[in-house]
Amino acid sequence: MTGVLCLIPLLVLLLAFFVLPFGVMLYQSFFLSLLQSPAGSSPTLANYAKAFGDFFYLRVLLQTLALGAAVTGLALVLGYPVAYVLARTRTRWRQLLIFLVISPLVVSIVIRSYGWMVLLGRVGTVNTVLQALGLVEKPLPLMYNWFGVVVALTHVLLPFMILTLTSVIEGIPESLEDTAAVLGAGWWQRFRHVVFPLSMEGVGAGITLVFMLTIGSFVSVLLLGGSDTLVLPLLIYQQVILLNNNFAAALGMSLLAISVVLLYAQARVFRVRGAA
Amino acid sequence: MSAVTGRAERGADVELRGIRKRYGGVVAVESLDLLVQPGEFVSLLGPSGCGKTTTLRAIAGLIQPDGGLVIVGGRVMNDVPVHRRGLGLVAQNYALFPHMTVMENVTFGLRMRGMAPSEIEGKAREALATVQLAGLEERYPRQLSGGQQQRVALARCLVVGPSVLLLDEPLGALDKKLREAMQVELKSLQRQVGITTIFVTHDQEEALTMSDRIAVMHQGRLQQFATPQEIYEAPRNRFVADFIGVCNFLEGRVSGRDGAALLLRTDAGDLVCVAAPADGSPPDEGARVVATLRPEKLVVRAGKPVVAGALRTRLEALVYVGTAVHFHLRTPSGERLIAYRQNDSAPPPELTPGAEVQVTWEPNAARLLPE
Amino acid sequence: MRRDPGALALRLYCGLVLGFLSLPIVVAVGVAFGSDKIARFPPTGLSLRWFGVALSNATFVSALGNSVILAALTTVLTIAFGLPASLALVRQKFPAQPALEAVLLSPLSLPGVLFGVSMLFFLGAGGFGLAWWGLLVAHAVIAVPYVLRTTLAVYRAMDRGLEETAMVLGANPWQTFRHVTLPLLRPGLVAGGLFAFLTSFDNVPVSIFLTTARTTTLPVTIMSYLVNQDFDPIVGAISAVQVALVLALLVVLDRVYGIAQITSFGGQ
Repeated sequence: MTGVLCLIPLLVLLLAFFVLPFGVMLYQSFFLSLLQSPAGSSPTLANYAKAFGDFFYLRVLLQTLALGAAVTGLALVLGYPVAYVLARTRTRWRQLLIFLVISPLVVSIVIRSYGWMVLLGRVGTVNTVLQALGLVEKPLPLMYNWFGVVVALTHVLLPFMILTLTSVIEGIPESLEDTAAVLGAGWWQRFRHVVFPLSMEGVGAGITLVFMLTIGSFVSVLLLGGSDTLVLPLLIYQQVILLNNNFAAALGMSLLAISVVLLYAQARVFRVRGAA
Repeated sequence: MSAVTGRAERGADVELRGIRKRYGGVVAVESLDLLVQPGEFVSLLGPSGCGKTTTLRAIAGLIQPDGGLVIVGGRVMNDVPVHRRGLGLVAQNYALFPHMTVMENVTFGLRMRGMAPSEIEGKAREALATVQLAGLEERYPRQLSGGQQQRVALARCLVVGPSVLLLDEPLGALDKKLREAMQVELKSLQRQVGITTIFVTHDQEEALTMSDRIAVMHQGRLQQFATPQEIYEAPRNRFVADFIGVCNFLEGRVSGRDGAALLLRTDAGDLVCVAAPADGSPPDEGARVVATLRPEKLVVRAGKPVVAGALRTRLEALVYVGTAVHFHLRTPSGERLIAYRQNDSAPPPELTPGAEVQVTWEPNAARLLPE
Repeated sequence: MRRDPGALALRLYCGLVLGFLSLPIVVAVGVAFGSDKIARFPPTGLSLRWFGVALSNATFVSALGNSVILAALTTVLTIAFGLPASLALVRQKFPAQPALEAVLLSPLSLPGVLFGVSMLFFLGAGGFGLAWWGLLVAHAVIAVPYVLRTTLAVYRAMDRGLEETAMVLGANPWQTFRHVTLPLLRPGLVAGGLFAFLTSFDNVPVSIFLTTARTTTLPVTIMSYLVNQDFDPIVGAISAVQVALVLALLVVLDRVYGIAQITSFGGQ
């Protein structure tokens, strides 16, 4: 009985400062701002019509989703082998490997983005090295464009993908791979027919998680992107700065809707074993 | 007054009246009435799911029964919270606090009661000495063996002087040799301290060895509550007969009397003797009855019966188990029987698979199941 | 793992990826030790002057102070609200419990901008202005799932029989909590609290909407610096200090409590 009482403070906190603010945002998305309609307005879907109807804004939405897909794909391909090694390593190396995968997550995203800026800038490390090796004559534009954004975001999201996949691959008994090997399967066949199929649930969970986090990314895109790398979270920020609060609210609700659908998919469809 | 027994020298009696508990649609315990005398060692015995652990936890107060009364030492405990019942409980995994030393574990109950530190240490050391574990006070549970952990759990439990000791399959995690040694130790400790003890187990040998009385449970109901001897020799129903040891069941119709014994005609047509019920109400002539026969009480001879009162069977298999030979037999009407023959002399060579065998017994060895 | 040549290539590849993961952090820290006027890696010369510049910059120092206080308060709040909630969630069966837990943990995956923007609108609609408590509470909301997640994991893995035994031995509910539950939950609380602290300390998407010139936080300050000016090594110096502190904390906590196991991010 006291059990229920203990949950109430948190529920009240979240109701007041999570649900309610989102409710306010939802409410505001159905009205026009004073700038657009000085005499006040009645509830309307105009903001949403603009968000999805105006080609400019629709493009931003599509860019966001495309970015999500690109980063997710990269993270999956780059991260799967690492997750496999991590899952199968039993020696003392394991502690170090896990530490190396987790530690970027505790370092501020601003610091990490700063590091990429130093690496990818016109006079940055990469360009300096390439020019010194004679591979290019002029510095490559690696920053303030989609390239820089994708690199930085893949870097940020890779640990999430790796840890999700590791947890699942650990659950696949190594004896299955051994049996396949004895039956004559080479490493690709073992991967294709044994490991990968059995890891599908984890792959699904990892994909949903990374995609969700990518489309919500703000800092990396702002710092490493340019004027044409506009994604939904940045657009929302822009509109708030421009005092178009109601339109920003509609954009926000759209982003929320997409995220909630993904959250639902992750919770229901991919029942991956949690941290316990 | 010794530190270990505390206030109650002989322990309190435990009475359960009409205890019932359901989980959703499943009956865990139904209409349970039980009276355990002070100082008695009682086992709750039964297969998993029979309700014995539920009953124990209800006595401890960790479960609230849906109905019925839990009475300890004459005091109704239903509304008394767990931490005020003054009972002792040792779980199967001992539940030693991993973050505390042995000493801190053992003194826990006394500390929670606000006893003076100087007194606490003395009592704790005495308790540890009683379970023969002096010298390990500063160790942590993970540094102890299974047997040592169990003794710490006991010392911790006894030092607060509970009126009743509740044990939930405490020997389950030990290997066979250690388990048998601990059974003896536990029983002698219980005798020494004189505390009422209720012991949950699914191992009938353990129950038979240790208990003053056994409460056999099945599907939430009490089947029989009696001494080990009575349970074994005079099981009250088919479940008890079958659960304890190995038992043969012989079915047939009452067909007259032979002095003090009853005559039973089996389905195969043999006429055999069974003991008449002790409570003096014999079943009617022609009534269908079931008799129980323990395998060690059967006498096996080769050949067809020449005397009346023997059972005809055919020997299907012989199993040699070192101290005895087990004969697997089948009657003409298809019933199976097992007979044990002590290996004090070589079995007759005619007793080979396929041979005809006659089976006899003392009249008192065959008991009727009260149906 | 097998010892065939494929395995060697695999391990090499892992090394490369892990190197990739550490690269920008190493670079950011390395820049701090450089003597150049602009951020360059590897630096042409070595110097510690940028640390001095950073520490004497009033804007950064006050922003640092704000961030520390804000993060500390956030941590206190998250534990105060999250610990009882975790106990309740494990001990009781709530209707639609999986859905309830998914909602409670959702801030972990939902975009941070949404929390910042919605709180901004909420404060505006309520006439509160850019109140300082709005920032604190928004941080608490997005940080509490970290405490919930680790505490739930530890509590669920704990042998509940220990609490029962304590009660049978005579400990009342408060004593049981204090002497048995709490000490055993401590690793979960510490790990969760650490992540809550870091989440608040490093946060940009929420803070950027809710800070004013007076109450600005360190990451927001650094961000506006980076966005507006040529990046000079002063940011590197701040980064180096922060990274050193955080990593040291992580190592110590891992030694004492084994953080890595508690925080496996298995798809939440």
